[in-house]
Amino acid sequence: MLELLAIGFQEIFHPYPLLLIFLGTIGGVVVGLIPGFTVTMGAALVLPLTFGMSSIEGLCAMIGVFVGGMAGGQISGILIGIPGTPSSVATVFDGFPMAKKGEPGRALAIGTWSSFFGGLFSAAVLIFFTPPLANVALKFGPWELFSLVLFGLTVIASLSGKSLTKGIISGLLGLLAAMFGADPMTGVPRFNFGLHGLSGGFSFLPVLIGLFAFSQLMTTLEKKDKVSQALILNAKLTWSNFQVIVDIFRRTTNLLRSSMIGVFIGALPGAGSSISNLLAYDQTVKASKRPEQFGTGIPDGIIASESANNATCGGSLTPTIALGIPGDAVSAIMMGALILHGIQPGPLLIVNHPKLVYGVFVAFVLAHFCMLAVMLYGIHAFVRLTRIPIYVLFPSILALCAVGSFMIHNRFFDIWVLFIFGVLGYLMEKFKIPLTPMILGVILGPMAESNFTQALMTDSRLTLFLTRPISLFFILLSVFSVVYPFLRFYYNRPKQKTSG
Amino acid sequence: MKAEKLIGVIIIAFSAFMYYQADRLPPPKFGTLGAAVFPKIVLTLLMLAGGSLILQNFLKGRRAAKAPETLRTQKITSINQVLGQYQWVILAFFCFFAYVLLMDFAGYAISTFIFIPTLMWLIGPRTKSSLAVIAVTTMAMTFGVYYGFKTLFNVFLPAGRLF
Repeated sequence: MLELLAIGFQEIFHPYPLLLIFLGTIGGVVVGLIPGFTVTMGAALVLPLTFGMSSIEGLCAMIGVFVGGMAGGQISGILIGIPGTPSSVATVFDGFPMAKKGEPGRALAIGTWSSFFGGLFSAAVLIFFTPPLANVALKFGPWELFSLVLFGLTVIASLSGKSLTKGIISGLLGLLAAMFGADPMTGVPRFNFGLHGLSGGFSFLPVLIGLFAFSQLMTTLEKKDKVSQALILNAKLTWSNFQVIVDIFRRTTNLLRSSMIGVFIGALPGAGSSISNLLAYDQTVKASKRPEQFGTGIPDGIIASESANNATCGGSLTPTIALGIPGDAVSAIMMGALILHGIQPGPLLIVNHPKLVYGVFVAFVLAHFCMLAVMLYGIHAFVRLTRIPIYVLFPSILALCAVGSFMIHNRFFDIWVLFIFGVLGYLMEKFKIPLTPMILGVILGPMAESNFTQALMTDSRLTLFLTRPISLFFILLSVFSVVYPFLRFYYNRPKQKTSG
Repeated sequence: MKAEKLIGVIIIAFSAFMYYQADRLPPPKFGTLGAAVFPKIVLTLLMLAGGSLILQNFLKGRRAAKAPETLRTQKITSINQVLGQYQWVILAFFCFFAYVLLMDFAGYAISTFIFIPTLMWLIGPRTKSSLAVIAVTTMAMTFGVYYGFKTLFNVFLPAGRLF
């Protein structure tokens, strides 16, 4: 392991990858701090730019965006009271009151250092748990791989929104979108409708940008008059790093518990940091001897939320690298980056590309140090960015979306794909159909179909999906994830009074 | 709630159409597993999911009809209301559609030179100071991006069919 980590260091410690981590972190913080923009959108926009880089360089940039974005969301949350990203919602509960009490700098510093420690905790999990998990996955046959994909899709469908049915519809639409073009096993053209552009199917990147970036931008435009500019400008952003670190380590139990929640939620496909920060905050309140103090501006609330959301990053990367099943939308985009560079994600990734994998581990750790420096020393500059009006950002980013979609395959058809999936993504958001299952369906569709077909070509008995123990385990988990919302509804419904 | 029934109907109709398309795919030359097998499974599940959505919505409707008046929520009842609420979004979609159409014929530079200031003017404050912002943004997004991508990434943006 140490030897492999040393190889990872060698991959990363060159000026260009280090610069990309740094720039990616800055980009992530910028995206994270602007309310309405998400880390997923930032990652989707950066992805096309990585095409001209090597795979490790591209991943360095994206990891920087991921880590920076998770931490950046707290800035507007603490200073304006509007979380920059869904992963910082709970940070507002105590961060904004602390800022209003005259300590915005202290709130930001607590959040930043908590993000740093939570992220390093998840980095340890990522480094030590990914290789053994991948070793287990190497024993998987096509039955197990298909069942694993099925599990990933059903869990995401059940966790991504309030309606399981809508989540399943979204995942199935993603699987269907992946089938356009040609059958992966036989090459038979499928669903082309005579269009030359469809002969290669829908390219993953414009679908991704359309669903996550384009539709998200349109949603931002709905609220263009409502973005608050009531920034706490006059309060000085000052703090003592030593005192902040002492404050955090006086609450070590909170830090560890919240980080573990973040890692666990991150590893669960589809759950993500938007859930982990709230869950960690909730658990911290419940575990506290003074729960009435939460919401008044105490450090505990900020520590819980921010350590959990950055811990989610490492948690979500673990199944992404070990199994080829992304833990959240941003990890799905990183998988897309690998696919763009001709590298097949999955259990064999660590075997075939150890330098890449351990380089990612090292980059992930370094990104947290970059994030710490960028946030602590760049905060005054970042605060000014919250003033950029929507009418400037919106058309510019739309144009960049079009450019990003075009540049991978140099196909104009991909810009139309961006538009179509942008409209579809926006309508799905309006009708509360979650987007994450769909993008996972698009990414995992070919893997699901080819393993399903391979399994049946090897042995035509469908019962093997149930008689092979690991496959059965994943299928049972899939069934449980589908049944669980109904069980929860049944047990939580108000009991009817019976007449005497 | 009517929207969910409509979504369900659209899903079922779309899945049925795609199932028909999958049925028209050539049969496999060897064995029984062809290009149509997996799509048919997914489309069948999609039809069932669409039907489930309609059924759930029907059951919710029956529960809501029995609920007290105070629990019923206000619904959007007219197209005008929708257009009013989402006017900027609809406008932006139309502008982007026109932008892509124009880009196909005239290329990235010309279409972006028109698109950026037009949309910024439509959705932004129409003041003298915003004119300067619009001018700078237009130059940056048109020429800056074009030459930036050409020199840094070796990517030539669409030149358009006319050129």
